[in-house]
Amino acid sequence: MLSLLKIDFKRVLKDKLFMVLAILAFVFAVISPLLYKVLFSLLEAEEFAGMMVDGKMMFFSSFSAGNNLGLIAPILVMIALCKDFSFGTIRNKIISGKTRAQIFISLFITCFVITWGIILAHAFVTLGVSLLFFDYQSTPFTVADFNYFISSLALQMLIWFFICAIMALLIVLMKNAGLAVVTYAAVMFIFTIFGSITQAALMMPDFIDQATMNALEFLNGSNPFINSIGLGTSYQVKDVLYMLIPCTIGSILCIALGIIGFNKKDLK
Amino acid sequence: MESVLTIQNVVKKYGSKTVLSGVNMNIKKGDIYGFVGENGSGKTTVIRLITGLIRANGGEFSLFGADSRSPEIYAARKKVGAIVETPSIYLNMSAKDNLLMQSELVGKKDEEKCKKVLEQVGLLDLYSEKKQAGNFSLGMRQRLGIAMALLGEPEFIILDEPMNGLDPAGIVEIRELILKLNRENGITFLISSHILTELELVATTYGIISKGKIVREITAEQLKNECRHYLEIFTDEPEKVKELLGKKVKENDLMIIGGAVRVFGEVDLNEVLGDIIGENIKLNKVNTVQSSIEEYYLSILGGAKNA
Repeated sequence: MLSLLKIDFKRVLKDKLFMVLAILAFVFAVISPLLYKVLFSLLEAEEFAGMMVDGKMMFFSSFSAGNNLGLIAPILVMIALCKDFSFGTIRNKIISGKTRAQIFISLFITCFVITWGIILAHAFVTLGVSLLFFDYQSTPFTVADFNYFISSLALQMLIWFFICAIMALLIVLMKNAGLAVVTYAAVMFIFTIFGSITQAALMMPDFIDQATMNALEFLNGSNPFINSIGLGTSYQVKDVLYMLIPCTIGSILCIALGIIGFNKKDLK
Repeated sequence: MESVLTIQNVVKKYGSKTVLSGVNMNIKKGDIYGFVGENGSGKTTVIRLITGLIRANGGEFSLFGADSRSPEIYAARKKVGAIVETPSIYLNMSAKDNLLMQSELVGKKDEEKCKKVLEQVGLLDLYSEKKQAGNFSLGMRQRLGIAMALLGEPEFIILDEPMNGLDPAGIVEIRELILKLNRENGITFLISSHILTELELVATTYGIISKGKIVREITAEQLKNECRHYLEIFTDEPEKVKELLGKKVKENDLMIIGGAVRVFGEVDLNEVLGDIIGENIKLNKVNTVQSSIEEYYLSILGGAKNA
């Protein structure tokens, strides 16, 4: 298993796509805060779309799977990982006696570590650049804020764990970079549309009964592609559970389906 | 002698199409098994099955005594090196990086070993080059693939059309390498090829596959004996001659090729000619011929088609 992980990491890190991804991560991290600063200077404003722009907002927005790097990183990582199928080197792994489950788990771990690693690095660089122009937040940073920061980071990691499980599942089912990317885009599109509808519905509480409201809150909170983790000040138990349970179940389901599906697949 | 691979009644279907319809095969330790068949006969499908790339719909096989359906098969596969259809190499990496990746995979990371296998396939110059494998010629990729197959110090090597893309010097080198590894290290080989004359120079056993079934397994010694002396009878009535001789000769040993009747195997010439003349059939010419492996192969396939 360790040997599989070593070669999966090496082949992605040696791929030119990873270099492109790293450069994009850095560029976005620098440009985003800069653009906000320039915009606010021109408009002489302190808010954007009703939200205070500060280091915290810039940091946690970086994790969004619907913006900038969050859109690009999964695509480039999937293309790099799918090369195992296009080059045929997946055959070497099977011929050498590795089980399909081992190969899938290694692929998933590589996908998660690299994707999350890039997103996290990008977020911290964004934070670093943001702090040159903005404060972290408008109020003094307390122990409670630190706990909230760590909790938010953990929840973001769980969200990306789920997203990477979806990516790994699509890679082994499609065995082709183009198909995997298109299917991922379709999945993301569906989640995003759905999330937009639930968010819009939540803005009309007068027209919705409590049971429906609870259901909509659950669907909205559990949507990995639309989340506002880290943009508040604290969590309610309900908020955490709405993210924790679906993401955990979703991840387990994707990993299980990935192992079962890959086991059944004939390879050329 | 110990069996490396035993396949029993293996069936493989893709949808409604049956690709393998009950394959039986046995490869003994130390064999160089020449696997021969026409395009689409199922050679690569059998190889994919053995290497675990696909699963059978029926039947069973064992590799080094491990049943294909048991967990022990994974340990057995560690003793196998293979090239299946095309070499599996990272096209965006150099020869050295490809070998280091493969050596990492088989758990024997050793730069000296990587150099040694590259030298064995005649590519040692590439070790220090940064040229990506995607820029290699077909022959170079083929050799690199063979080198990678050798890295795990396998006991059983499967080569699917290994001579593809190789120049004549390369073909000789690989042939010599196969013979050397078999002779000195006792490595068992399964080599599928269309180049029968090349197989003839290395194989100790042959398996001929047609339409998803092994139609003949024969040792090199047996092949030499059977290869295949025949009587060629030119006549204006070949069908009549075939019908007449069919009473005494097996149907598979009688064929009409190019307007002439071929009678394979040992026959009494006087008796055959006597029968034909006795029926007042005009004979134009009679030859006795020692056939080549290709003709033998075609005669076996012709028999298989008639079956």
